Amino acid sequence: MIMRRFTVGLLSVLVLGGCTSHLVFYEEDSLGLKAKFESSNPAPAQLSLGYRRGIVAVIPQKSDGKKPSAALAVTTTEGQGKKTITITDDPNELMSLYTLFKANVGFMDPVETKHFLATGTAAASLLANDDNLRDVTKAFEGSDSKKEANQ
Amino acid sequence: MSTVIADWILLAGLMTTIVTQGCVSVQVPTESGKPGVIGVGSAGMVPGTGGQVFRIMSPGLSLRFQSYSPGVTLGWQETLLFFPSTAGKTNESWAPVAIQNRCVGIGFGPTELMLGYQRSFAVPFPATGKSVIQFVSYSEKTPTNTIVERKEIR
Repeated sequence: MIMRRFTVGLLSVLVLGGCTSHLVFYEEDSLGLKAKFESSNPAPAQLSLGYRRGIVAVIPQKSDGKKPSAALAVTTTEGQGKKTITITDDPNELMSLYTLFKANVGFMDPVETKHFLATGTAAASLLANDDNLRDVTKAFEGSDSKKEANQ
Repeated sequence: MSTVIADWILLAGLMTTIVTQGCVSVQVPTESGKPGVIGVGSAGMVPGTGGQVFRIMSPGLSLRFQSYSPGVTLGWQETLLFFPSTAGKTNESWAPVAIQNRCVGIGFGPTELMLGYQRSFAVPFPATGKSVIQFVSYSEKTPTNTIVERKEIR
């Protein structure tokens, strides 16, 4: 029996222009022969023989990237003895993303998967509060032990 | 030359028929957003999951034209689509929050070729700019404990 069990946590608030993705998380296992190709090249870009496991997490942009904008817009206005500074977010900036993943997989065993995801302001607010974050992690672990208790 | 090619095609067809024993299916997209199966295969909700897990199984030769796992498999192929409990009850679309694929045999995808066993779990990107919290928990052993939740924060 092959048992694999892991947890992945990711937080990223980065800036990367021109990158739009439709997939936020991908995990795969394979046993045997596998070849991956790129659209412009007939030769395999990746070849694996035997057991392989891979995880990819893509951090999406805040917008769809169709509207070009400055990385960060800061405007200063003065009036009535007051100075106002306005900072405008870059729509091409990457979103906040928090994800947790756990899987039990085996070639002949029943598959178990768990995935938690928070994006945008939901992730930012979650990560700003230690108690909330602890509750989420505890609930993530807790649902597992509850299942085990039922079995 | 064309006779040789025709012979190879005939041989490949004969071998496929023998190997699959007539198990051939085609998976196509439907208006509901859930793929349908034509031929030998099944598509339906996993019992005990409260209508949140949709399973498509195809033994033998499987030709898939739906977007969740496009390609061809000779062997056995299974796709699980995880829908939130609110799907269909609100204005939200029927898009799955997660997709799991399993395949044994020979598989051809748009950018890959596989011989053996493969399992993948993917979470599609929520709509651009949306703040979302979602949770998926699924066990084949205890499908009644399945949880698929998705909440958008405005």
